[in-house]
Amino acid sequence: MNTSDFREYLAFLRDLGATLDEITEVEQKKAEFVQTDDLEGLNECMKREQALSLTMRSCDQKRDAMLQMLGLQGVHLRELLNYAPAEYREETKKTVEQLCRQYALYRGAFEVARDTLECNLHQVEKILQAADPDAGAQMGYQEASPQLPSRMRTDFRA
Amino acid sequence: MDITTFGAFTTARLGIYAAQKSLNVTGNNIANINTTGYTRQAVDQVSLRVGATNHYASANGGVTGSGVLVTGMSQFRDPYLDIRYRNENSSVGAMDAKLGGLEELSNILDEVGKGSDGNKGEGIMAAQFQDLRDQLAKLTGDQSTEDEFLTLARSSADSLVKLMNNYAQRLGEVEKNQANGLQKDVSSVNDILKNIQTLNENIQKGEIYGDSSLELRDQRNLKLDELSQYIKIDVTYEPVSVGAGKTVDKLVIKTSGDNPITLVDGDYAGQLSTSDGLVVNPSYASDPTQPQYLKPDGTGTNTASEAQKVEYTLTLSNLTNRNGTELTGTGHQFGDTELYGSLQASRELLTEAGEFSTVTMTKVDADAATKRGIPYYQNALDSLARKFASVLNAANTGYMYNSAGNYIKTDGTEITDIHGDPIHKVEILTSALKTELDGAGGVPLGGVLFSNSSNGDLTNDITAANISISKSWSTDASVLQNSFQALEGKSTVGSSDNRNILHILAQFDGKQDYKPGDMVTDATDGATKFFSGSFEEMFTNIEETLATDTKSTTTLLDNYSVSTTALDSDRDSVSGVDLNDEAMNMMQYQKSYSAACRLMTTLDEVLDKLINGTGVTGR
Repeated sequence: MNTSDFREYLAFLRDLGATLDEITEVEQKKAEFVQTDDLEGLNECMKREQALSLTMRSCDQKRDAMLQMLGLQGVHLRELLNYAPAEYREETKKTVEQLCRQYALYRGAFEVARDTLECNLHQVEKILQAADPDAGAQMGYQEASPQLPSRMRTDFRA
Repeated sequence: MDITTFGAFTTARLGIYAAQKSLNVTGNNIANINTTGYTRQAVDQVSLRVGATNHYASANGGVTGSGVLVTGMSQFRDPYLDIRYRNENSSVGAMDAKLGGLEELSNILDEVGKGSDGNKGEGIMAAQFQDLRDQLAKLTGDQSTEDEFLTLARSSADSLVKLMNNYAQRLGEVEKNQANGLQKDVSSVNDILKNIQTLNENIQKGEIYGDSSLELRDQRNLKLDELSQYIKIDVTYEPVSVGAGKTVDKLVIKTSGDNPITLVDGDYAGQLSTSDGLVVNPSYASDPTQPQYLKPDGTGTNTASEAQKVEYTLTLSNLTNRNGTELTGTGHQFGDTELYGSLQASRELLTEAGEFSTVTMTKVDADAATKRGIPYYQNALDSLARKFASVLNAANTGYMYNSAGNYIKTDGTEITDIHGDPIHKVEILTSALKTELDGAGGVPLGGVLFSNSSNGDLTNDITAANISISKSWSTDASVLQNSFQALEGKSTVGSSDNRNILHILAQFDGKQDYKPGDMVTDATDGATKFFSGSFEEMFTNIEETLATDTKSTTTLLDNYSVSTTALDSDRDSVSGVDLNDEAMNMMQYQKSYSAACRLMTTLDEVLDKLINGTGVTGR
């Protein structure tokens, strides 16, 4: 394995981490804007998110190409340490761990943003259903049983 | 059949009753506006029509209803928000418990801003390392007061090891606190499970007798919220027939994940306990002829010592009802990564060793090497203490050599090997070389500075908890060897020769490799160094690792907390009592009540006319 290629790959992973940090920030802001009903801010976030998603996509392609060049196709990030040249083991360990941590933070922020959005959509759905008489009962309201209580009905088995 | 002449009174009466009931519920809602966990209630009512279509339909047509019927009470709840809230709550619980543990560790290991040098705030441990260097450096200068400086150097070293002892002891206390905390959490979870079981039973009984038991449901929902902090749960309601065509809801709580385990099934509930951690063979419960335990390779064994061991394992008992009837086969031993929530976070704080994870631990959890709990910090500190002791002991132990660097005997002659060549000094003495030099009359100098106890000079298994000034050094400050080189043509070391002190000082700046295998023999990646640097840098690395973990946990906790708070507000907007709504309802029901009363009066007047004023002409 060419060690300079490997060094370049580690630098690429650090760049990827920086991009993840950016997306994490966008996700955090997105959740904040949803909570404060700031649609303009949310729109801006969506645009930035789209742009960063494209960056991530190109990163993904670059990663595949670099792994192929290193002869490490199919090697998971967690396993990278096992293939690192001895002089880069410490750096690899740090880089991989940092990237995993950044990814965990991104996942956390993404889940929160998604949940907040979904909850708001749920609210919108409820309002629309309440406004539409054909949509039936209001969501969240435990509908009264259309049947009479059993004591007022005849038990035909008797 | 239409309503009878006097039936209209029933219509009015039912109207009064429904309005009265609604007013009662509105009053109850208002009264409970500040009650924790109270869910807003509403009256369920249906339009009543007595009888059915018959053969003799009235020629006049116009079948009317017979009033209103109150069928029960219901609550305003949104199950979607409950599920979301409880999911997020388990993340908050997990991060909160983890952060609590990390903060306890930070109180010990985070020395930012602390230290004797107030201006630099370099840290207590770093300051003590620096102090030892300063004291050793003094030995390289004026030798007139050498004995005093030797004692000062020893005192400084003693302070440093006592500091390590203190940190190790406090880490041990954190571990004990966490273990107690886990036990307390387990007992809280057990109380919650028992409470839910009792509530389920009472709610079911109430439902059978036609009572919705809304207040009990509120209590149960509060308990479910509480439980979701400890364990990530899935709550479902299943209809169960209780005979006579009646069904009631049965509440089932399962752990969330790939392998859901039932914690509560209606009026049956399990109880958690911490076990010895030996992994039990799942087939053993149903077939006792099978091996009782599983080995790390997955094969069975009946020998406890061969079994795979997962520390602080949680075990769920068979689900049992209040009469003691057990649902056999429902018990379960939770795997290392099967739970999520504060219980799991507490477990991980107590078990995760990061780079010091053993092969068994890595097999159970592939991410074990990146999860760091108290054992990691204990091992890292032990690693520093052991390296420090071994490097300085090696630097202070040797044999006298001449200016050519060859080992000499007491008479000053060089020691030769089997080929007759002189033996040149080496940095680290092997035991074979020691034996050879001892046998050949070499002159041993210096000695062990740090040992595993203050009562002896043994250097095996040194940890941060037991590192001490060796007995030899504590009784004789001059064990600290100033040089191993003899004076030219003599077999004594010059008192002003400080070569070895300089060599020891150089060790403080030298980079040392720290490997997990030095501390844990069966560490997964034992031979790979996890850090390389000076003693002070190693301690800073421990601090940095802790700080990074604390920072990312704080960020995650902040994210989840904000989301949980928002979800709780959303839930409150559905389930909470709103005074404006209730005031409007109150006015509306008051008017309904008045109108129904008016109807009664009107009917009375109408019928009075019919009975007393109709067909009376000429009487």
